[in-house]
Amino acid sequence: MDILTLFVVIPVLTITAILFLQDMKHVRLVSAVGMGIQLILAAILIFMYLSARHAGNTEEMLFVKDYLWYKSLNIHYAVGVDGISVAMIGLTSIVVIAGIFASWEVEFLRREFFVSLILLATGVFGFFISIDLFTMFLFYELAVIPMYLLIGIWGTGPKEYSAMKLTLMLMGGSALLLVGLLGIYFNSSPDGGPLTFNILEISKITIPMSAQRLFFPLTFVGFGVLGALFPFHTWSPDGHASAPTAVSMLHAGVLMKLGGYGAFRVAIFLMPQAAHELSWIFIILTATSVVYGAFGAIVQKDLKYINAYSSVSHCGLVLFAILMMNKTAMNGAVIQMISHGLMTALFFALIGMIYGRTHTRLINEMGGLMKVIPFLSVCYVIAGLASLGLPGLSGFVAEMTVFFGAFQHPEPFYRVVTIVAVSSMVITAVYILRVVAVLLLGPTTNDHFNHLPDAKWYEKISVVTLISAVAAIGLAPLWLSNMIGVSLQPIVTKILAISPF
Amino acid sequence: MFAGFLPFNELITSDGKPFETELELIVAIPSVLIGIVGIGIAYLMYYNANELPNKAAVLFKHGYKWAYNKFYMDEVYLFVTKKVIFRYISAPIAWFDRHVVDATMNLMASVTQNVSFRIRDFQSGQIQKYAFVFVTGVVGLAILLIYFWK
Repeated sequence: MDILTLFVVIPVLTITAILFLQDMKHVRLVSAVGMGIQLILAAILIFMYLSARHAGNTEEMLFVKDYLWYKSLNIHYAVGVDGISVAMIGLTSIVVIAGIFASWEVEFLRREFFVSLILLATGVFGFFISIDLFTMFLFYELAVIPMYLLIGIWGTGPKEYSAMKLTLMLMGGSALLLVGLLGIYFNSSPDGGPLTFNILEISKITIPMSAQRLFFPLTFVGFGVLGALFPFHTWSPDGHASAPTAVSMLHAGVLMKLGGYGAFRVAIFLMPQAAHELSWIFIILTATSVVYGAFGAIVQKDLKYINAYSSVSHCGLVLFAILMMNKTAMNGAVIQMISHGLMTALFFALIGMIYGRTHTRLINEMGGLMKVIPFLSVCYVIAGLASLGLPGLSGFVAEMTVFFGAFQHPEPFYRVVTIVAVSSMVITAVYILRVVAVLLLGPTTNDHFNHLPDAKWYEKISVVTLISAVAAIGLAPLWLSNMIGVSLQPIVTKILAISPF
Repeated sequence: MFAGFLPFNELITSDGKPFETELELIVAIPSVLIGIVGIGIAYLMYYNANELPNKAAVLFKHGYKWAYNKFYMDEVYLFVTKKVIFRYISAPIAWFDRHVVDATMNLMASVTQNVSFRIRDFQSGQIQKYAFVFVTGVVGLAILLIYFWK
């Protein structure tokens, strides 16, 4: 069996093992072991990928396997990875294992919870390894469905409303996306050959411009809904606020990245002419997301809402950078996806841990936590510093690369919107430092808080894993940047052919 | 601190070549000199207790007051963030997000729900009704195709 298929098989085997377990106590252990194996497998994949590249393999996608599974529509189970998808698989593996440990204390319907969580992860892994549009779409849907159950059953607050809203909006995006993907499929052979869903094959032809103008916006918005594109982001704050900790981590950390990755891999890569022509519309929307999300975060009182609006801003930056359509900005977009995935998962993990102790997420009801739970507090500060772009942490590398690349664009419009987007860094600093000051510093506001226990061992594993990754990217970003950069080359070459800037 | 560890000029590149930077002596030399002079004055004034700081405070009364209050940067920061950004930008954006953007999505959901509620009687389970609607539709389409379709 090829290594990429293992990324789907191992979660399925883990789910099967959980379903057959007699003792509920072993459910989380089996989940941790299964996803631990997945993490090791991701490390092996990264090593194999870098070795293959080092050995001189210059193919666009590596470890490609292709099996026909629906002949009449030419649908294949086709998998393959480049540096971008390898990086996303690495991100997913880290966030999933951190999410498992963050869910260690889930008691209610434990078996069903972990099955749903791992099923969601299966969809995400499958999405990142697929190079057949239809198979990719199936995995995308597989990732969205468990989210409804996870929020609706294990969530808090208005969980049914939030779960329904999130699912319906994402399904609305899926409907647009399906039309877009079918449009690409039916225009995948302008010369009259067999139609295909294969991304690599479609990338070799030029889809007619009339079709691109119609299907690019559908595909981009379809993925953009999941990437919290303004004004289709409203599922995000409510969904994140109601979701249990691990689900918020996976959703903001990984699932929202499906939107950015898909917009890049499908919409821009396969329809670059329309992307170039219509980019200004979406750049305005994404720049709005960036600034709007940051301003929206400032006045929130609930920690999860603050982080959710912050995610709207940071994910907006991903789409913004992709639309700049040059190598530096796109490289920054992928690093931003990984950086945001790690630090937002860290944020949500810490918020869940703090909420589990204080029983409130409202910042004006908390204060002085640094003295009582120093480990969690210091980790929160680190997450905040990463979010506001402190050098040495991943946020700095990602955001600076994005802004640098965006400003390389010679046209004044692109430079002006870049300056507008850059202002989000200052706004981010305002709300992050405000939260740190109110939440962690000063005297404790409630006597109950003086007796709070600090992090337990499984919580420490969760946050240390994420912080290590954030710091590793911040201190040694070049290996990641180079891995992504090599894979961006064919995409950028195709874009430069139609837009030489 | 990270200048040596983070080869940032190599990372921020679109063509694989390091981003070229150069030392601007016109900026660097005065900056360093001002820093050294500042350190020297601080040494004279504070290394050993003496009257020099008090005399300087009296001599540069207004400058001392500004420096003592950190040039009122804290006040400026609080004014800009709390009085301007929070009140006139963030709060309206949060209101707009909740009452316009979010409300629009909720409105679409409500309209769908209401329409579904109103048309639910179409699905009555009565075969006669279904047959009537079916036959009416067929007759309507036939008329359309025979007399109006050109």
